[in-house]
Amino acid sequence: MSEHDAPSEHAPVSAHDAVAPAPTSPDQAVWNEEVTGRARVQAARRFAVLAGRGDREGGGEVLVAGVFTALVAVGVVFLAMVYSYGYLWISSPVWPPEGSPSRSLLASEVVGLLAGAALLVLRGRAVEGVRRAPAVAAALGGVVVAAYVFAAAGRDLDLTVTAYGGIVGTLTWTVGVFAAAALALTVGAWWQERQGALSIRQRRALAAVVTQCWWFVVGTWTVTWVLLFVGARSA
Amino acid sequence: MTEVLAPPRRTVHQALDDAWSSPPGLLGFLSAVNHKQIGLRFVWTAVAFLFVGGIEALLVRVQLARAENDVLSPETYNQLFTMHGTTMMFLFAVPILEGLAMYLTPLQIGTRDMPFPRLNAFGYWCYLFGGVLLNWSLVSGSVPDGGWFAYTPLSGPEFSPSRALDFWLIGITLVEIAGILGAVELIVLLLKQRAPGMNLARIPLFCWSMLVMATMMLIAFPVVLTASLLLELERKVGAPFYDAAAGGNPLLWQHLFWIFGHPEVYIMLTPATGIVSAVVAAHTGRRIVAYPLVVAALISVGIASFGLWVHHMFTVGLPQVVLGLFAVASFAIAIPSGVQIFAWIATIWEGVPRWRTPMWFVMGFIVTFVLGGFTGVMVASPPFDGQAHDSYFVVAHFHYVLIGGVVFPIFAGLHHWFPTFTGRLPNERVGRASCGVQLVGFHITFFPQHLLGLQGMARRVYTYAEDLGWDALNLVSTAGSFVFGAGVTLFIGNLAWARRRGPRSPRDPWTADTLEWSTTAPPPSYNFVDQPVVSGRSPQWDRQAPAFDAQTLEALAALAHPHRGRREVVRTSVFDARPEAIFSLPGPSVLPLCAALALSVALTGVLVDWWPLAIGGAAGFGWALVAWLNGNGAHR
Amino acid sequence: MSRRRGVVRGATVVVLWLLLTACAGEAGAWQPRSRQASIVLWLFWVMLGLAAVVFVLVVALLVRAARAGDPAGVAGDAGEQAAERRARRLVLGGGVLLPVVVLVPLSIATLTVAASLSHRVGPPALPIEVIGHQYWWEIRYPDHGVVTANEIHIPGGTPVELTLTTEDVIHSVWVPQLSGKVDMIPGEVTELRFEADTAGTYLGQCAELCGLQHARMRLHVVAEPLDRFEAWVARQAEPAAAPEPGSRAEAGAEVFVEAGCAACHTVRGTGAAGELGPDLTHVADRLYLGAGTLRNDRGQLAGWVANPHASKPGALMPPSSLEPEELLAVVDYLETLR
Repeated sequence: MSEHDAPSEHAPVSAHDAVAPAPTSPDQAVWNEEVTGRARVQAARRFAVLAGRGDREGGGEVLVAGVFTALVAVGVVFLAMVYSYGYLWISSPVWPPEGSPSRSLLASEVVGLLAGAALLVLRGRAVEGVRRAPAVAAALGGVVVAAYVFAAAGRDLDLTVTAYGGIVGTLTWTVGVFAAAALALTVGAWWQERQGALSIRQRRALAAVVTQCWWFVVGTWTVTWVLLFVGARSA
Repeated sequence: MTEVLAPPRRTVHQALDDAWSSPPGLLGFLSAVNHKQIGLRFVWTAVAFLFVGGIEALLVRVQLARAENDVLSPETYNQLFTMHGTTMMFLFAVPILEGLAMYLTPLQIGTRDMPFPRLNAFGYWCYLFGGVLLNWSLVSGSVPDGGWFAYTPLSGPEFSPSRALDFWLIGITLVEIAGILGAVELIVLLLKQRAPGMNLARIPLFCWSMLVMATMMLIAFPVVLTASLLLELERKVGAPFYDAAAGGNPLLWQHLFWIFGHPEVYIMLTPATGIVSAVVAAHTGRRIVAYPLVVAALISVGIASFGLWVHHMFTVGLPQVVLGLFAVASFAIAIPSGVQIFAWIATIWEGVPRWRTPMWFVMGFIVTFVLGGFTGVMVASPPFDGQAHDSYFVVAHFHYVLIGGVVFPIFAGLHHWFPTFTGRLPNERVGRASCGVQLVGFHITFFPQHLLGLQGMARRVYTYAEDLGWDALNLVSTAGSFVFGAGVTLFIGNLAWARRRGPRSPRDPWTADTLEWSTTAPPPSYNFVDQPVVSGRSPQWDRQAPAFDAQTLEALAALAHPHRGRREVVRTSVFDARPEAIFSLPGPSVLPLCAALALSVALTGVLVDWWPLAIGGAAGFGWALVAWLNGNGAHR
Repeated sequence: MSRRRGVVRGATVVVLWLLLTACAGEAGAWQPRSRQASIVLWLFWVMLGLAAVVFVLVVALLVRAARAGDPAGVAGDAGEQAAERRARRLVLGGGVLLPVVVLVPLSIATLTVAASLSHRVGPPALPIEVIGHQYWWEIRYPDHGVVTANEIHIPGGTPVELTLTTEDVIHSVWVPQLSGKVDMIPGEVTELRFEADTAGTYLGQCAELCGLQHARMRLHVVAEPLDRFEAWVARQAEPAAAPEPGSRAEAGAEVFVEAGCAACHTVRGTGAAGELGPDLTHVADRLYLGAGTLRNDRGQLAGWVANPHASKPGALMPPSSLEPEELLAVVDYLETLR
């Protein structure tokens, strides 16, 4: 006996109108009675008259909502790391205890972010409405990187010697992972589009998802580097 | 076009079932994505873990039955209480509630499945593999022994050098991933897939509670995920986040853990109150009174629970002002809890209670939970907490809250919804008897622990001295625990019996008010032939006919016939549930299983420090994700 | 119905019996022996009293509700509305008003007690340092140059201030008759203040899981009159007395150094200066061995030295490989350390 057995009791076929099913008993509606024949055909006709083929491609918005919700969770991971950074900062007598973030990490993230932004620009030509995001991402990134490189030039940091190095490394790596994931998503979406199997609705939904992810990356990236920049300067 | 208009050749039931049912055989089992199958897998897997955790608890009680007992070595004892707490929190309570949510919320809001069915399946496999991995430690011999809270530095690389804590961290991480994904699903489901007409003021309280639970999970679980990640980095890579000697801070773990840990309590309690609301309404024939107040209470508990974590840390030497603030905030949570308690009392008062098993569990719940609430207020008072914290008083307190407040409602719910799970009715007399046995056993077990705690018995001690006079109460407690265990076994045994041999249930055995009772028991793979339309808070009781506007008609007509064999559902607006569009869901696939398996393999590679395995698993995970996303394209 | 009443009566008897056993219990927070513990117990009784009143109220309402069974409430729209109004009054009254009425005085009581606990009374406190180790307590009296273990002597009626730190993991000091618990956190310094008002020996326990032998990490606080305390502290401050020349104890002193005991243990006034284990300068003077594991007498001491893991598996002190004669000599020597 499994949970997807066919209904064990078939209610008698009722003659009610499929378009406006009235409750079968005064007290209880039953939404599972089999309706066949003329009523259903009538319903379908009426539907066809009303709405043509109808909107059967409403999944894009659900996907966007889902990705947004998931990004909230990922954002909390990031915020918990920021909280850890802040907690260690506040509870530490000296800050920063030593060094500053590694520039190789920084460089890899910049490459990831810029590549992602570039891809997004390419996609933006095909799908409307996402043109501003990559430009903002690139500009924002450029400013912060420049500021950071200027301030932190010549110092390096070991991730395993102090908690400071650890949390800085974890934050930067995390943002790197976010950027890499967004990049992969961008490439994937682009590739799918090139296959030509997607409707314009689907392309728009994918574009919205990708843009959302990039805004997220840009947001976390900015917060991280401002934080580390301020943190490293406050000694 | 034409196929929409063509008269169906087979019955609509068959056509819908073709579109929605899982394929037969082993492959079908492994590729299933239907919310009812996945939901029940969560439920029954969690019940299995309940027995694992229960046996661990009984062993702990046997060791404590008398002073200087030597049934268990201190090592085994520490492992058992760690695994008991971890299993009950992470592998039983939260997953079973998630499972109930997955099975019931789509039915209660009148839709055919959850918005991301494959993610659902992926979540289940992550949970299963996480649970198995965690318990595999029992076989491998390095069993976690740092408590379910794994305080640093005891859980750090220096003081727990074996792999035990890695099992714990990685097992938990997999289970948390499952929780987060489930939360994403539930939120989108409850906001975007409600039946036309089910505006925010008509959502069943059970679904409201699940929405609040999911939102809390979405915010709380990533925090413990982060804490675990940092600890795993400390253990494997050597980044000293929690090591005071290297600039870290062991209290950081406590903060992160309790920022998760306190909401975790309400993540279990909130859906439990939702179950109680559903049961009370169904078994008194009256919908829950003061609905807006109850919803407000649910939401405010959800928000407030994120501001109380410090009351688990009253003894770490924080400033008095902080303690005072958190104490008063913790007291205040009694108000929303009180609102709910009195809403149920008032509903029972105004309704006509029918005393079947679920109602007895609810009565047991109210009395026990109120007592747990009182001790909760007591331990929220920092001066008294100085005595109670980490003593058996607290052990008693949270078992009153978690068993009285969560397990009893879960059992009420299992009995109540068993007909819709299986189409059969559990035995009433056995159900009621099991409830009685559990209540008696529970209070005999845990009431004495309040007294022991104030006599000075600390938590997590594997033994105590003979001259302290604690033997009698401990023996009583141990005896009670076996009575309680027998009650639980009787209850589950009743369900196991009824699953095959119970009498067939009518469609709606309790004359309840929500939509899951409007379809067959058990529901068909597609839940409803016709898209339900809702005109009030209790669709099964409302006499007013639903209103059909043009959009609703459109959605109804479109769904009335499976289009190209797709799995179609209605998307509705967030606030007033106007139909917006129809979309189709992806069907069965083994890729979620592959992805979860690969992820587990990768994490196992990390666990055993065998990097080729970790990298291979990660690569497999990447492949599975690409294949999954590439082949999907179903969210049209 | 009568059967149910029987069950209720039975349960009441059981509960009362449990309460009686509890109050007959020897120690713990029920029998406070300091101002701090007394005021907390008072707070507990206040809270318990309020809780009892509310509990009786809730259960009475629940029973009344369960028996009401008023079908009139379901019929008719007007009846429905009236019922909803009645219900809403009950919910607001019971769910909002009642908690507020109870919790406001409770908050005041809590904050008052908290303020009173943190308030310093009397002359500057006697400072004592307590350092947590897996699984024992190092006790230092910085003003007197005394180092001991697992036994805190305090003068009765005088405020003492314990400064708490830890060598390894988190521990928590809890002596229920004297005070609530305070944790020892690596990298931090916490404090615990109390004054015992009655002479006596009070049992304490580590309250935070600290590893395998968390259970056997006990502590004794000995509160005694000021003159006796001063005599004790003066005795403790002295170096160890040299064993009688030619006695077996003297041989034991040599074994103590040669067998490696001195690598972990200090005996002031001798060459033994290990820092990992408890200071043994006056070990024979202590009430217990192994942080409250064994009573301190000759037999237990021999057993402990031979193999601490017999009674405290997981203790960091390794079993010794002494010959029986050497063991007796070491025990003789330790017995002289008064």
